[in-house]
Amino acid sequence: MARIVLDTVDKFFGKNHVIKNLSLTIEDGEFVTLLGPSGCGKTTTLRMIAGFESPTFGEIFIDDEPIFSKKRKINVPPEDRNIGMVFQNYAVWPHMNVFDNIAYPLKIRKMPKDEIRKRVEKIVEIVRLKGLEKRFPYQLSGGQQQRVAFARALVYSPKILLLDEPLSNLDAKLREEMRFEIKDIQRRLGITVVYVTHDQSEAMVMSDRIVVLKDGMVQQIGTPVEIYEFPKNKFVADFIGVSNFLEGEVVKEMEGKVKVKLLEIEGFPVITAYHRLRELKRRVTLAVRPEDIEISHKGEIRAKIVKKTFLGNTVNYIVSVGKELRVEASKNNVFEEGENVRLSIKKAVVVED
Amino acid sequence: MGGGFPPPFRGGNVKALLWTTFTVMLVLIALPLILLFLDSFRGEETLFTLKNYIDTFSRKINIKSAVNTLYLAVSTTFFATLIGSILAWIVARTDVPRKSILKTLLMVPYMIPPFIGAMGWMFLFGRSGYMNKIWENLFGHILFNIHSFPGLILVMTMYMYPPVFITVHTALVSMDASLEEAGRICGARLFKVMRSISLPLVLPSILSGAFLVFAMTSANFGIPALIGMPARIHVLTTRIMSYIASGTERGLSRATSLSVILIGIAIAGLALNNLFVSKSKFTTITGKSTRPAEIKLGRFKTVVTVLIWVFIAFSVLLPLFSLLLTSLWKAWGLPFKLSSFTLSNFYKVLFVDENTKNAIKNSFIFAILSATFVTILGSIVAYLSVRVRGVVSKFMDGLSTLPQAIPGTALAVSMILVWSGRFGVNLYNTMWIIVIAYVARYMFLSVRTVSGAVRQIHESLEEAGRSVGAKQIKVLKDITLPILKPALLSSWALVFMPTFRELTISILLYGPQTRTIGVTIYELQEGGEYQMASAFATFVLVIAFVLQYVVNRYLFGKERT
Repeated sequence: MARIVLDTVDKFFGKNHVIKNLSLTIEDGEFVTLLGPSGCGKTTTLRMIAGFESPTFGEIFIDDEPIFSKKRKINVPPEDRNIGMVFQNYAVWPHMNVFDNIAYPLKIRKMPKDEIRKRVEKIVEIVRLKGLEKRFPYQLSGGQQQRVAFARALVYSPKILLLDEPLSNLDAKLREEMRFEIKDIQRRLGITVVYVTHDQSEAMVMSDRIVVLKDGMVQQIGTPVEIYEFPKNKFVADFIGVSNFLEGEVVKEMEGKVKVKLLEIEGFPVITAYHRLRELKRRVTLAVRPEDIEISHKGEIRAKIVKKTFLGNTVNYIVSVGKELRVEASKNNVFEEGENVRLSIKKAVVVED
Repeated sequence: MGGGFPPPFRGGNVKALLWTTFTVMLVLIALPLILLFLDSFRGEETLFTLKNYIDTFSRKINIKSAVNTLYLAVSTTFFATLIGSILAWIVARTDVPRKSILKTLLMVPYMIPPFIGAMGWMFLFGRSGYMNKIWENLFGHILFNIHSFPGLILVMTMYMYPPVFITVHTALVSMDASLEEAGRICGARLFKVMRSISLPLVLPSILSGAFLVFAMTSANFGIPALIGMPARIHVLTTRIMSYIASGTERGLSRATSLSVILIGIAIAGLALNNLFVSKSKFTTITGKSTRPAEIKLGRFKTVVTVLIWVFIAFSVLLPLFSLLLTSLWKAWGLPFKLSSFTLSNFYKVLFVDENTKNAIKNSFIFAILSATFVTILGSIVAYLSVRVRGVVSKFMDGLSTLPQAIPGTALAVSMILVWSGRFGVNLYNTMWIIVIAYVARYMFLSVRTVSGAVRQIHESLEEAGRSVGAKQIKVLKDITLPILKPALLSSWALVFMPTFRELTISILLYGPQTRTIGVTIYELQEGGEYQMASAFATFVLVIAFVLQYVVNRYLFGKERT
């Protein structure tokens, strides 16, 4: 059992309010990603869980035990939180070889030598570093150093693993591979993972849930599908994937859906859109994914192809409907620049500003 | 010429410049050192004999001075490294207040010429020094005699810890914080992390500081001359000085052998540094860097803060204060009353005394000439060594940095061997032998500064000049030189600062008309003219501090990109 709870956490650096009233529960065995642009507070949040930063207000619990509490004056030091962490630059100690790096946490825990050797052997197997135990970090590639960092963070079987942009220093191909490997290790060990990244595709592939952060505030928490299909606001819709935004007026409310008159498009066509917001104003913004717009000669919206970009598996269009929209279409039905077409919007979501 | 010269450099005049510079460098640096080495093995009839060494070391005092040099260097290295590292750790990593002031004050001894620092200590702990007098009045005996081996080690340590302090401080501050955090998160307490992770990581810096101290201590002349010699404690540098001062053929021969030994000791330190301290192993991938965690000293905070300020007061400020006090005193030993103090010592030094006025004139002329020659020659060497590929330019670059490792005393002896008429030119007792020695000694400063700057100028900047129709010389004048100007100014200032108050070389090369400031202060102090000596020294310190400030502020403050 390793459940992390952040309860109304605030963090100031001087006058700078970097985390604003953050409450978050990460369930046991869950893979949660903190996602956001740089400066959004994701790393600070991770470092508060690790114990390298102290919240200015609020409480943090692991398994209902407070590890930080402002009002109860509790601040468990990092070394007593029994957390594993992989740093962005791996932080593999250059003066120790692979074996000593990985064995260090066990030596700290005063384990007998045999036990240490057994444990290191096992973890080396898992992270696929066999045969490199005697090497020093400067003799390892970036990918291998990262495996050392993983092994060192996992060897003492912590219940929580914190990952601070661990893939950002790897080349593209290795990054792709490591995503699956990290996910695989997490599943096998059943460990709770908090993962920090600014790379949305990384977050999509690996996470059980994603926490989207901006300016120290949670924008949305949800599964990758929820976040992608039902972004809560313009920021999330734009930061994760690509979205077109259309202004409209609600003409009819239904269960979970609304009919919206599109105000920026010639002829004010009415379409159906999903809505999961708590309150609904009359004027709304719709987010429409480029792949949710269909180009043909018989849709309800008139448009003109402005620009065509061939991407191999798909074709991207900029079309004009009074304003310009991005459309992603299959390569089987190609339209030419300047051609008059019709669009139909297959799916739209009401988002907050 | 093949591919040797990049486009702006084709043609005979560059080749001529290269070979001319190369020859100058050979005569200036290589010839004296080779001659020193060969002469130490030359007999009356043979080219190789050990007779000179046997003769030199048949005198017990010479063996003793070599042993003393080693002993002094080893002990100073030990204490300076210990003190420097601990201070660096406190200032870099604990929550002791006012860190930037502490850092500045702790580096002050680095700016003080060691022989002037030694004077300050003499005024405190000489047989009739202030502290000893106070102690004697209270307890009936003196506290500590500075003219002793422990005194020598003490003063030396106080002027040698700054290189260790600054290298270790830099290493601690710039160390990647996540290396320590990784230790914390996997269960190690802060002090455990310090011991098993931080210390091994800064060890290369500590060692390289230590080896530097070893080389600097063995090469130092001022401190053993003022502190050691009155107690008949000799080291190699002071022995060499005595032999040269004797003015005999035999003296010169012995000074030559001792110089070779001295060079051996100094270079051994630097060689060990290169051998043991390989930093390449310790480079890691760096990511976003967070500041390393500060250690909360908690209840020790007050104690540590007080101790560090006591150290600064005792080792940095007190000697300076005693120097200033002496310079304001009418005569040594007068009672502490306002009427006992005067500014007339300064007036005498600056405006009355022919001796000191002459020394000021000499030193400034020597410093200006050497700074100018070094900058011109050094820039040419730097420019050629960056822009012209080939063995000659590389060799020249290496040659220019060599004297950095050679103790000034030994370099001065080698200059005597070359420039006393042996090759038809006798510069002994003229200012030129001093200037030449300074140029050789400090060439590396200019080459290092300028070649760094030349490397920053992309060849395309010059090629662009050529492409729009400017001739090679015009490109140099209109494009290269203006861009290099800050570096040239730095190089000039960097050479001026140590040369205007130089002692080690000039004490061996001065003649009746070419006494320098350093030599004159030394002679005044030796002659018991403490007020004059300290007034003169205070004057030098003021100039040194002002120059340092100006250089930091205007030359290194704003680097051009």
